[in-house]
Amino acid sequence: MSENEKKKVLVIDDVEENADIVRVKLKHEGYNVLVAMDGESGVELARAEIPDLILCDIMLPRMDGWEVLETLRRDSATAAIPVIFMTAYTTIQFSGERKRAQDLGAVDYLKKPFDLSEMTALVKKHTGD
Amino acid sequence: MRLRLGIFTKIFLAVAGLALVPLFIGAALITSIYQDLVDQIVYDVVHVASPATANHLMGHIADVHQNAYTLMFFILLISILLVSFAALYLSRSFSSPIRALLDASRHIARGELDVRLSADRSDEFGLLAGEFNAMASQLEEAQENLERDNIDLERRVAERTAELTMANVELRSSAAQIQEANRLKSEFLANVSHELRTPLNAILGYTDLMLDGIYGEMQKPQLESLTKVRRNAESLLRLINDILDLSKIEAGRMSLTLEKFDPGELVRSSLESVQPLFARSRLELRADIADGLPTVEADRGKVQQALYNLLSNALKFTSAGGVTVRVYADEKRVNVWFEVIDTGPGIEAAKLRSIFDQFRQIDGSTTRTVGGAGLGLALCKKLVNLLNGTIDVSSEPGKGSAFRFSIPVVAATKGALPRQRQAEAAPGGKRTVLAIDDAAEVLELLAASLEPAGFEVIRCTDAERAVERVRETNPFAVTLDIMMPYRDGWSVLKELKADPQTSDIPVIIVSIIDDRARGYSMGVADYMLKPINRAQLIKRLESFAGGDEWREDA
Repeated sequence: MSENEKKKVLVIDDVEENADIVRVKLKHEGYNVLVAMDGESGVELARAEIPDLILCDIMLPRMDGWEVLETLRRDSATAAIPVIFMTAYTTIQFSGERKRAQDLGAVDYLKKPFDLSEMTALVKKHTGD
Repeated sequence: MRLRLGIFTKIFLAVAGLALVPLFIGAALITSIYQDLVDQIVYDVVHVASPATANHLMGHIADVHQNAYTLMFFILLISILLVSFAALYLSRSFSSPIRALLDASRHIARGELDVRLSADRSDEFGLLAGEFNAMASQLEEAQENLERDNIDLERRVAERTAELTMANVELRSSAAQIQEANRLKSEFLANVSHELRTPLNAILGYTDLMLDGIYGEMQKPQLESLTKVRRNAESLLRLINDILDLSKIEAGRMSLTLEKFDPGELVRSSLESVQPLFARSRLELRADIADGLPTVEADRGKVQQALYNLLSNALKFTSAGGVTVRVYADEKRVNVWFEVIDTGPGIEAAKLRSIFDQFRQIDGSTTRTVGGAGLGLALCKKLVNLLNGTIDVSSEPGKGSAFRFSIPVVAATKGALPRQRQAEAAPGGKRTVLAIDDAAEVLELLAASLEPAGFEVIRCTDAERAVERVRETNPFAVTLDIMMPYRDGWSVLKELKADPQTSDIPVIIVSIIDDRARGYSMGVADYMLKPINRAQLIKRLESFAGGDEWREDA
């Protein structure tokens, strides 16, 4: 499979190791992985590359995950890209926040630390593989 | 109609009457004797004397007669006058002290206690006046004492009121401090938990990558070691989660999501997910699900968490045999019981009591062999209590233990949460924000910013009616301007925070006046300067939604 045929996944996480783990695993699974270390450059990269899927942390420098999502949704070029939130919350108990994420168009969430196979399954589901 | 006569008139009439009656009787007697005498003389003169002498004498007699009557008249007149004066004097000497007494009594009755009678008379009236004065003095003294006591009492009441007000202020500020301390604790735990999870994420992630063989095939000892790394990292993660859950329950910040579910199905799906762990330990895992169980309304996730904790406990302590999970309803079908029965070592009766305490395992040696900080059962108890159920244990050393907990079939809201009322969306599905600002255009701007984010904005331009509007609408949050005509925002804020009905509602100041210190000291949730930063305001309002879960990350 050539680089052009591979599905593109953008990972936005300010913790280098987290981004690295996801990158290695997804690359191994046959994805073309792009990494951004903060919200702003994440949005820039998304606009430039139009990835098939974005995995986004919520607590990010410069622009947090919520703002990244809002910004992407406002731009017609990036509005349709599915976004999966990665967060370190323990349990999603408050339906309001989950609803907010859904309203903004987040397609799913991953609870950190997450199981790599669970992450891969979610990525496959939302990239249509 | 009876004629009412004063004492003066009575004494006067009595004295005058008594003195004048004998006087008139005496006068009448004297007149009669004198008339007899004159008649005798006239007779003698007429019969004895010559006509000339008789005429002459008769003339004299007529003169004497005339003079005698005149004299009599004057004597009577003078007597009457003297008697009248005497009566007048006497009656006055009686009536004037009585009048004075009457006068003085009237003054006293009016509360003028300083009146005194002249007590210079030596008679009974003098004594009476003396007694009266003494009584008046006593009254006056009593009155003064009373007034002094009253003033003292008022002063003491004022002092107590001041003390109470002071105590109230202190109480309120210490309550605020406790609330703040609790908030800081939760924030701290959330931060610590985030900080702990971040490196754990890297440990688990890289371990997984290596176990997956992404970095190349590994030898058996390496695989085994890495598996141990992973297992320990997982148990560390569980511990962090338990601690966070415990602290959340303790802080009253664990919220419940109620749903209806079949308890039998819950047990089946729970057993399915732990089956591999039991198989690995070569333990049998059985389910004993009663027929016809009622549908339960509760927080399914929390029930499952409690059951998992008991299962993981049973797995940890049982080395041979098996574990049975029973689920059944009590006779009245009010509660459903979940019971986990193991064939482990059992627990001595003396140690059963403290088994649900935090950080306590049955003895130090077990801690070493089975590991763990002993939070599972403590968390289990807290969860069950939160669900309004009960938990207990029965055990026989050498034979095994049976842990069981109940949950009510119909949800009872015991773990009522602070701000739940406001955090939950209104029946219409929207959370209301009451916006107070005298400028209608500011309110329009606020509404235009907040409504797309899912808030309903109630506009209030009348500061004087603001507090009333808050009580009426019981909003999710309030935004408040400071500079408003007729009533400023500080006074509105003060009243809102003083009323228990409204004091919990978060207030965000939105003003051009920058006096954050004053705002925060008065209990505002946030202080924002105009022009409004839309994103910041929405973010802050969202944070009131009570969910700390996402804030850990934000």
